[in-house]
Amino acid sequence: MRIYPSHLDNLGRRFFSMVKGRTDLLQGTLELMILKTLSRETMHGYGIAQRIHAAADDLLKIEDGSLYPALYRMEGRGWIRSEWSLSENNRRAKFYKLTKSGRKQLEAETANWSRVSQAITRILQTA
Amino acid sequence: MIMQPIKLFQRKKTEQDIEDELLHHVSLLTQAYLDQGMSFEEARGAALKRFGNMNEIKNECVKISINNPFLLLVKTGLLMLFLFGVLMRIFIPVENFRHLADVLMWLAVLGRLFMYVRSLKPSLFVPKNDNASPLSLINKSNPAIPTYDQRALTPLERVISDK
Repeated sequence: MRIYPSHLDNLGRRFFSMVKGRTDLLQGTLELMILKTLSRETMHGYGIAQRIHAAADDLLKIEDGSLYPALYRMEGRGWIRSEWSLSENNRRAKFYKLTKSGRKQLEAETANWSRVSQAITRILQTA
Repeated sequence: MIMQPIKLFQRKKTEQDIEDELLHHVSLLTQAYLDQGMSFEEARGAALKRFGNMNEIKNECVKISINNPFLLLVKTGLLMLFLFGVLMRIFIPVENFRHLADVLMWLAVLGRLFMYVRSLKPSLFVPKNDNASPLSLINKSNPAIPTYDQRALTPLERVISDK
């Protein structure tokens, strides 16, 4: 089964709408992956997509285009910064870089993710 | 009313930038599929399928980008700085404060001008021998990831420009 970010979003909305304060958990999954990817180095959109595909070993089928609205939203929140630059083949490309605020967000989201995934794992094992 | 043409111009510029960015991605994907031995039509189809609905994504990005709160904050800050300078110049008749007001006003004007020029010609602010290129950031050991060819246009871009 292919899982697209929109599925995660819908699932997140349905499940976590019952839990106050955590409505953004699964909706932020793609953003968490982007933050983690950018924590290593500056990249453009294509590089980010490739890195996520490679890291997820194609278990998550993410439409490449869905990264861009997420990137623009994250830039708006100040988590990442972008600038146009030239690639090694002199092509104009937009690079994204993690900001200090983005690094903090990554730490917070990573901690949150591991807490929730542990909780769900326990539920699945015991229920 | 005066701001309308400026807003329209900014929107067009934003749209163009986003379109460039998305096309760049699709062209790299197409190239990756071509390198895997697909025909051009197959490669283009596969790239567009993997990318998703280009128009929808572009429109969403434009919408988000135009309402970028950070840029709005910076622009508002510069405007406030300018107005503060003007008010200081008018209402405080002390010579030293006038100089300070002039400095604030010039800072605001130059800041706004810099933002504008930077958005028009981003390549002017990039060092020419920048080794931190995007493709070097991709994991080169992964054979599925292509190296970009040296031609000016990719096949997809040639087809688009032919139309």
